[in-house]
This record gives sequence, structure tokens and C-alpha cells, in this order.
Amino acid sequence: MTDLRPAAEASGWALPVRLWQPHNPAFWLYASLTALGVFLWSRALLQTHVAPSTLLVAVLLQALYTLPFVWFITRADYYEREPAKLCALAFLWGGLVSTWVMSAPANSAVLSLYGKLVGIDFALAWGPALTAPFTEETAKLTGVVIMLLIARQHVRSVYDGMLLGMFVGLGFQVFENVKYLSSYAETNFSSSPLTDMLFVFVMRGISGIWGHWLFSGIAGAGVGYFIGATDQSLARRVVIASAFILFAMLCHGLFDAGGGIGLMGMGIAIPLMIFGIVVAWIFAGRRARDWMRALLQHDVDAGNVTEAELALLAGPQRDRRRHLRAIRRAQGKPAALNCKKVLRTATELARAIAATNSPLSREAEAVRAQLARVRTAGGARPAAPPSL
Amino acid sequence: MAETARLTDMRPWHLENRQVEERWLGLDRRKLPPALMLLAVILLLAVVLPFIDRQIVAGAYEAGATQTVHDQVVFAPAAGWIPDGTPAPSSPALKIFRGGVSMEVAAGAWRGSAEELLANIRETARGYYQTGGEMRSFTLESGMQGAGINLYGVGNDGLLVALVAPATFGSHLDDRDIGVRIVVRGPAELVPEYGAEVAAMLASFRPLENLLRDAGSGRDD
Repeated sequence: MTDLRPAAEASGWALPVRLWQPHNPAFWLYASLTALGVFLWSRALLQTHVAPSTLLVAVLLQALYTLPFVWFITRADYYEREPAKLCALAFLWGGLVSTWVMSAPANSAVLSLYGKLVGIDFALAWGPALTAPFTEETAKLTGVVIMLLIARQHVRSVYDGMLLGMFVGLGFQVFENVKYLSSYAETNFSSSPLTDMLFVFVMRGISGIWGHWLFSGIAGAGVGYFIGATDQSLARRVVIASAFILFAMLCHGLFDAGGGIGLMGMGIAIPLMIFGIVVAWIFAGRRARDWMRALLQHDVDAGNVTEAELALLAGPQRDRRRHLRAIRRAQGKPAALNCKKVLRTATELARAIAATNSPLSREAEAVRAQLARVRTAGGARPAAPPSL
Repeated sequence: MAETARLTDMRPWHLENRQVEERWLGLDRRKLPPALMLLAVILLLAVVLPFIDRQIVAGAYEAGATQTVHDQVVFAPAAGWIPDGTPAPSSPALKIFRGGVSMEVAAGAWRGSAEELLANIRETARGYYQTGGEMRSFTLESGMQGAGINLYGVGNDGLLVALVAPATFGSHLDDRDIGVRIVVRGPAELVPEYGAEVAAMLASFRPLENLLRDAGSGRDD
């Protein structure tokens, strides 16, 4: 039988996340700094001279804005969803600690230093581009690192680093935006708070699509690679992790370089970001696919999963999409939907095996029975070998 | 299988709990170094960089200098006053100080009179400003309408002033005018010492379009 232990342990799939860890210094670091972040953020909002209803609208607008990002990020990993607890922890760290405890004082100090040492014109034109990539990306990366220290048994792959990095970045931009929205209303003495807030909401909402969550997703993928690729040499891990992080900083710098090079910076940054996130995805998917092969081999031998299905599950996502489209054309929509369910259930089987470190565990048997039911319900034959 | 061999080469994290003897003050000793390294990075950003910034004092304004706020209004800071942070002309607010007395200036869109703006500032601040005495209305040489009231606090006296001027071209999303909030604060015994300088600075406020009309009359530091 294939040795499952390495894949089960390296994937960390379905391992539980425990919050209360009094023996872990990172737990106390997280708790104390988040409490400080709550204090600083609340103080910043309370010192904003706007009506409470204005603050409430700002919070509600940002809460709505967050939902599609959360939906997307939680579904980005085909093989496993990040535990909700860990995502929430990363989001709060990004919003409360990376922003208010670290970035706010650091940005202010560095921008002020540029003004004093180089000149106000330089600080205005290039200050943001030469400050935020270093201060903010570092502040957000601490979020991925503290997640690693708190949930070491779970955070161990490129996917983990990338998706948790995205949650840290999302928290960063959402909490920052609440303050921006209310501040803009305050700037205009609350003379038309709703108009002012909607204007900032739309502007920051559009730019936020290409914002912090993508920068820190790319940088987080680097951290994930470093901690997960223990089969690679240390030098290679350092080089690849550094490349991801520096690339994220470069994208952030170009994005913020409006004062120096206008919209051209954003025009260069957006395609670069797309490139960076695609490369991160490729790195992430490749390793997860290796684990699928090892974890499902027993079921392929036993006939529960076909070779063709394993090839699809252990192949790139575009192959699965292409295969489902081919079935839809040849056999209709119900058959394609059933095939999709079969593949999903087989993925769950791999997770159950990884979580229990045994293909014969009760959990694995339960998913296997579910897999058989899905096949029977759909009257589906095993997927034909993909013509790739 | 080559892939299985590669996976077998992976060194998984150690999952077992540390024993009591491997703890220091109840904390897992093995996890202390990475947590301390993380704390060092956090301190660098949150404490060290601001500390370095505070050690480098910016130059004070010289006589004749002007300062733009939010690209909408201009005033002439008195010689010797020091900007707190980077005095960017586009910034919606800035603070200058001298000898323990500070003057905060914020500019933005406003529709209404100076008296209404002053009332709005006091209302939205929800008791933040402890005001006293009678409100006074005035008109500056530049044409800006103003309203002011005294501030009283524990060891901090001062002045809260609202100014209003017609909007400049393209300065807002709509047809609102320009509103300015000025807060002068300092220890009760020091504020009178700088009273003349504060009054001169208040009198120098004018909307940016006035500055453009009087081209060549001054520039920002």
C-alpha cells in the first residue's frame, strides 16, 4: 500500500485548528496585539467627528463589499477550504494589527522622514510608492507568519500562505476603508456625508479589486512555499519565497506610484499582479495534486475511483473544466453535474484519508459510501479518460 | 513511483506537544524564538521608525512663507512655527506648533454660513470641544466669513474658529463652498503669549483662487 503519512502530514488537510493555546507565545502575541488594534481602531473612529449613523453606514458598506471577496477566497482552493477560524483570525490581524498597530505609525514616520530629509515634493510624488510596499507588505506578512505559529499543523502549503495572505490583505483594506469613508465625510464637515462616503466607497472599491488582498496573496504564497516545500533545498526555498515577496512589493509600489508616473503605474501593476497570482496558483496546485495521487491511490486500486478521475483530480483545473464541458455537450447537463459531484466527493475522500491518516478509517468509509450513492443517483458511469 | 518518493522526502512538522521541562514561564521554549523575531519586526514598524522620525526636527517656517491646506485655502504661518509632520498642500488637515501652543487647520466642502459651520463642528464633536463665552462673527480681508468661540479645557485654553469662502473651480464634487476649521490650543498661561501671532495667521486666510488671482504674491514652502 502507498505510504500515506507524508502526504497526510504535508497537506495538513482537515486537521483541526485550536484557538486556546496558553503555552504558545504566538497566541499571547496575537491576543495582546489584536486587543491593542481594537483600541487604536476604535479610538481613531471615535475621534472622527461624524455622526454615529455615518460610521454605521461606513461599516455596513464595507461589510457588504467584503462578502464577494470572502466567497471567492474560500473557494479558491479546489482541494480544501481554509478553516473558517483561521480565516477570521487572519482577517482580524490584517484589519486591526497590520493596519493600526504597524502600518499607520510606520507610514506616517517614513513619509515624514522623506519630507524632512529629501523634500516635500519628493515625499508627495514618490513617498507612497517608496513607503507602503515595505511597511504595509511587511506588516501584512506578519499576519501569515503568526497564523503559521498559531496553527502550525495546518498552515504548511503554498495554498495556505496565499489564501491566508489574501484574508490578511482583505482585512487590511476593509478596516482601512471604514476609516477613509468616515474621514472623508468628516473632512467636509458632514455637510453631505452620504454623497461623500459613496464617492469614496466607489473609488476605493474599484481600486480595491486590485488591492491589498492580491499583494499579500502573492507574498503569502512565498511564505507558504518556504514552509511547505521541505523537500527542496533551503537556498531554493529562500530564493523562491523572496521572489514572491519582492514581486508583491514591486506591484504595490507601481500601484501607489500615481504621484510620480500617474496612471501608468497602475496600468503596469495590474497585469503584473495577474501574472503573479497565476504563478502562485500554479505553485500551489502542483503540490496539492501530488498529495491527491498519493492519498487516492488505494481507492484507485480498489476501483472506488477510476484512473481517469484521479488523472482529472491530480491535473490542472482547466482539464477538469474542459472535461465537464465535453460531458455536457455529449450527455447533457445532468450528467456533467453528476460528474462534478463525483469529483468533489472524491476530493472529500482524499481529505478524510489525510485527516485520519488511513484509507480504512470510519470517516473515509463514510465518504466512500457517499461517493457510491452519488454515482448511483446520477446513474453515472465512471468518467471516460480525458482526451487532453 | 517518483512522486511518492518525493513526498516521502518531505519532513513533516513535529506535531507533538512539548513536555513541561521544555517550557519557560509556562511558554513552549521551542516557539519563543520565532515569536520574539516577529515581535521585533512589529516593534520596528510601530515604535522604532516613529522614534527615529521624532528625533529629526523639521525646519520652522520663515517670515513670508505661505501654506496651502487641501489645495483650497492658503494662510501665512508666523515665523518660527513648526509643521507637525509633512505639510503637504493637498492634505486636508495640518497642525503647526510653537512653544507648546498648536494650531490645527482642516479644510473641506461646506454648505452654509460660518456660524452654522461652527455649530456643526461643536455638534459632531460630541462634547470634544469645551467651549465658553460668546460666539463672535467677523469678516477677513480676503472676504472669508468667520465665527469663533473660546475653548476651555484642563490646562488647555484656546480658540475654535470656522471660516467659509465660496468654492474654487473644481474643488468639490458639487457646488458646496469651502469650510475651514481652526483649533488653537495650549496651556492657559502660554496661549496669550502667542495671541498676536495667532491673530495674524487667522487674518491671513484666503481661498486658493484669491492666491491665483494675485499671482506671484507668495509660494508654499
